[in-house]
Amino acid sequence: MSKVVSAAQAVAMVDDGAHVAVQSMGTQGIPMTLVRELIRQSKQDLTITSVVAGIGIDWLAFAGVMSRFCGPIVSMERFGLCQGFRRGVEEGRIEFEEYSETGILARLSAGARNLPFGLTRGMIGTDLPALHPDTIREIEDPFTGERVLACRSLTPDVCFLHAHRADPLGNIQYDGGTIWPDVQIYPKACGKTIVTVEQIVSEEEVRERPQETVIPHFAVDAVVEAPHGCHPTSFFPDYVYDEAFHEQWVSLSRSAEQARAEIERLCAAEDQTAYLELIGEQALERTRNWRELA
Amino acid sequence: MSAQTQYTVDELMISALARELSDDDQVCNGAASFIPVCAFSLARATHAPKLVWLAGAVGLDARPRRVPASTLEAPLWHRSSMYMPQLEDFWSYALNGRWLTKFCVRGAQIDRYGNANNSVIGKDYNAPKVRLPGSAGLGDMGSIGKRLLYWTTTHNPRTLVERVDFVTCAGWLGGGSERSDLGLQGGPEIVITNLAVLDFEPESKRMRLCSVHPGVSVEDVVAATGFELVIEGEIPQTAPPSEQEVRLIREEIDPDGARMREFGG
Repeated sequence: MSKVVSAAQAVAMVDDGAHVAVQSMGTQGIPMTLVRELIRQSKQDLTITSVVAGIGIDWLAFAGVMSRFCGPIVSMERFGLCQGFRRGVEEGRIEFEEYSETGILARLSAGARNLPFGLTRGMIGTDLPALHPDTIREIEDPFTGERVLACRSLTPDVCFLHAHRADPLGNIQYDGGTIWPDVQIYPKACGKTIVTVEQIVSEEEVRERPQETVIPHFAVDAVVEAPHGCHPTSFFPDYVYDEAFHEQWVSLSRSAEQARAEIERLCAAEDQTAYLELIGEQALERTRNWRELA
Repeated sequence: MSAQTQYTVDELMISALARELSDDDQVCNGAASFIPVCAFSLARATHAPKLVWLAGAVGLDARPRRVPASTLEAPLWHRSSMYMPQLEDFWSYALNGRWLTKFCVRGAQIDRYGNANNSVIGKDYNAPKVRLPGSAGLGDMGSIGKRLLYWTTTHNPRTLVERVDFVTCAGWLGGGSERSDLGLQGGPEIVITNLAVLDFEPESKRMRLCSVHPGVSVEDVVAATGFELVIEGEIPQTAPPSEQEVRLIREEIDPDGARMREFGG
């Protein structure tokens, strides 16, 4: 049975108030097709988890669809702070539930393995644990008495990922680069898994290269074909981030009004094909030629 | 000869940081870390060719042709010998204790005991004056036994503060034995700024002035620091970069000047 659906159908699976884990590493690998669709469907009161949230969360913050971020960092790296998100927190509209990287990963890993909590030695001595009496507790190692932090299991409702290929069954393949924690952990910890891919291929093509399959079909709920689906962020090795786009966003996002108008313009595209037309082939081609940057 | 070498403060900081690294060290870098990435490359090109470097915490012993505009993205991982999977591999090697024993830290605030803040400016965490990016791996690296090397290009009383508004990265905490009493190994060792090199007095763990950069006086450093520094005896000048180091940085390591992004460039 095929799991291939449209972005609109996939995102219809997300309820208002849901906790959504979104693949993201600063300027890398954000499934932006699904991010835009959350805004198109005017979702409300979402909690977002990412390892390093980037431009996608800034759009969600400006568009007013999120009320909480649960994770370690929000930054567009060289492009600086996400202004919409930052203002949302400073003005009390968005809560930042901040953990260290091993803290959030311990919570998700416990969720993935159906354990009550994960462990870390990170955050000890910092002010982070005291922010979270309901999810982080200092405990004693029962064997040695040493100090360690218990990090309560976290199981978000749904996760968004982006990959190179999938077959219609939902076997997900990657072309190398590093394997980010998102890919390894979200499908196991989250209630539902929605994956956009550069390309849908046949089951036979997947079987020719099983070593490239990183998520099995049984853990995947929906597959959406979205070529260049991380634009304006990068997706190794296919394309790098769109520098001009990010720089323009940095400039626009100084004004909430301008930022919202830009988001509205980009989210008006009803699907990925329409979005890519809006961006223009020239801009996309520049991001494919990233190797000259190395 | 080096007295005549023309250099700028970015090159001096890179050279000073590179000298803290040896062939036996293993390092990784995080986001927007241009000074450390240049220093790792310089150390590998000069006195520490065997320095192990995980570029962007991903690319093992990468050989980028030059420092690119991002210290996390694929161009920095160029010609790596391995792409490190993050969840199981990177964090396991980092948490294990045997590997990746030094980590470079920059904070929006660094205090007299080497605690760093990258979370919020303002005393009320839930209503911050400025919401900073957040912990990322900083909240881990200060607690898991790493030897911490700090850098900042903004040595002023807003960055170097008496007490950070929020401890994102555990330094010497309240000083003295407070860190070791919690069972934490490692800790802050050195602070390289645009004005001076500093370390921590071994007993009190208070920040101590080691050397001032050429052209900077001890008084300049005192005025630019938001707390009382430990100053013992005559303070020497920071050794300037050699002619060879300056040439390597300018011509081979970072010809595009990506490092100037850390100076608002």
